[in-house]
Amino acid sequence: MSDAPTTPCGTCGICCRSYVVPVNGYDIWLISTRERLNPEEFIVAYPLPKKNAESFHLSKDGFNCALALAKKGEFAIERDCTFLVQLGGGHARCGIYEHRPGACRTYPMTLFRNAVIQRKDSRCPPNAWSEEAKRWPSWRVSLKRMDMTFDVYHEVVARWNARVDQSPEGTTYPLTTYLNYLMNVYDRLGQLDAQLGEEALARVRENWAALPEHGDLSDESVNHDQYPWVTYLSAAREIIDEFYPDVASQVSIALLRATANQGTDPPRHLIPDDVWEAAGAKG
Amino acid sequence: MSVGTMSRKEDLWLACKPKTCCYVATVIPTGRDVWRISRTLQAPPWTFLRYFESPEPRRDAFALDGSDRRFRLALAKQPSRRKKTPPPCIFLMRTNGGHHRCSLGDLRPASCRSFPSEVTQGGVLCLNPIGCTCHEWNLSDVDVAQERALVETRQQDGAEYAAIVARWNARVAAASDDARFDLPAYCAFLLGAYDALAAGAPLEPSRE
Repeated sequence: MSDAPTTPCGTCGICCRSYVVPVNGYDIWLISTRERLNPEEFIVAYPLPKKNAESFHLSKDGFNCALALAKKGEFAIERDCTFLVQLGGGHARCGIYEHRPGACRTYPMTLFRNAVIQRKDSRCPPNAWSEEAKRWPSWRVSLKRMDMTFDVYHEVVARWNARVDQSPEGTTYPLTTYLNYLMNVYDRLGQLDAQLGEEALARVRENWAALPEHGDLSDESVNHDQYPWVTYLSAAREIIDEFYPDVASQVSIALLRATANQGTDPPRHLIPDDVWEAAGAKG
Repeated sequence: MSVGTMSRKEDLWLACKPKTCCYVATVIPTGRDVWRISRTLQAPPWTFLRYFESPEPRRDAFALDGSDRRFRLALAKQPSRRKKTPPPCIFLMRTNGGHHRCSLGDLRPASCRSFPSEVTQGGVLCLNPIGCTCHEWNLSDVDVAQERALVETRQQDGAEYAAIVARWNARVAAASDDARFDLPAYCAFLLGAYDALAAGAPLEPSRE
């Protein structure tokens, strides 16, 4: 029996019908290996209006694409998620609850200056989440894990895109090739995680993207044991760099971002007004 | 993050694309199955159960009034427009590519977990009943000791459920002649009974 606290999600499922659920390589690998499903059974690639850290392309001049969970039937934002199970009496449940993507696991919370808050744009019914529920430690763990998995995914994507850009003119890869690449990389990253063990991983996760105040890890006075995520990221990048050996190692997006984020604010639209004001931020 | 190892049976079951057994069979859960699913999914039992009249007396058949009529629980089926195929189990998911998966995973009823095995005359047998179109099962597909444990769990859960049903039936018999009970009332009794067992209360003998 699960000891998980009661959530208001049992009778809702609005979020499973209202969003495109973004997924990263870790999410795909987890669902695929645990449910023994080919990623193409539950994943769609959709074009993005502009390039970002998770956008990949399949040819040099191809669309910038991202991956999302499929919907039942044809892909449309307001359709049911492919994994939504409809019970009687309006109840609905996620059919892969234990292995659901980070975006679902963390919804409707976000991290604001390292504090867990409810997203301003969440579609949960009013007062669905009590103040006590918002303080569950599992939110922070899931949010930090999602940050970590997306940051590592950005490194994985960067390597793929560099490989595509280096390919002979006119080369177009099928989506299957990209998904196979993801499955291979994450199998190896899974081994790295298994070697580390859950306790060490928890330290990496909790500390993810934290930097010394001056932001300079090369400073000799910095105790690197306090930043285990950097060691983890290096090990992950070594694994990623083993794929496509002809492609040069890419700049670490995660490190660049961590440095750039030092002292900066998260996207304003995610933060409820009262929390923003209480934090003393300027509107 | 590691996947862990799966038994050969789990591998075969997950690899099965059509999951015909989840269409053809009517899954009869024990009270423990109902309790486990309901409490974990935070869904009232009536949202995933149906009941039907039992043509003959059975130890898992419950009364809803003072008459001799007895009923049994079954997992509900999804609404289906197909006339030639039976409707799928309410917990069965289907991807757009036609692969089926049980959304209950490890929560699934003991009868699903032990399918298609039985213990007969002390030995484990893999039966090949109607409903499995993907594979012809035999003992090389399963870990025999594990399979025996699954069947025994199903049998023990069945015996435990029979004792709880008997208590319910005694309660119904003791009620006034015109008393009528419904499925939610029976389910509430079940959940209470298994909550008490989980809290360490002894399984009271039947007073029927």
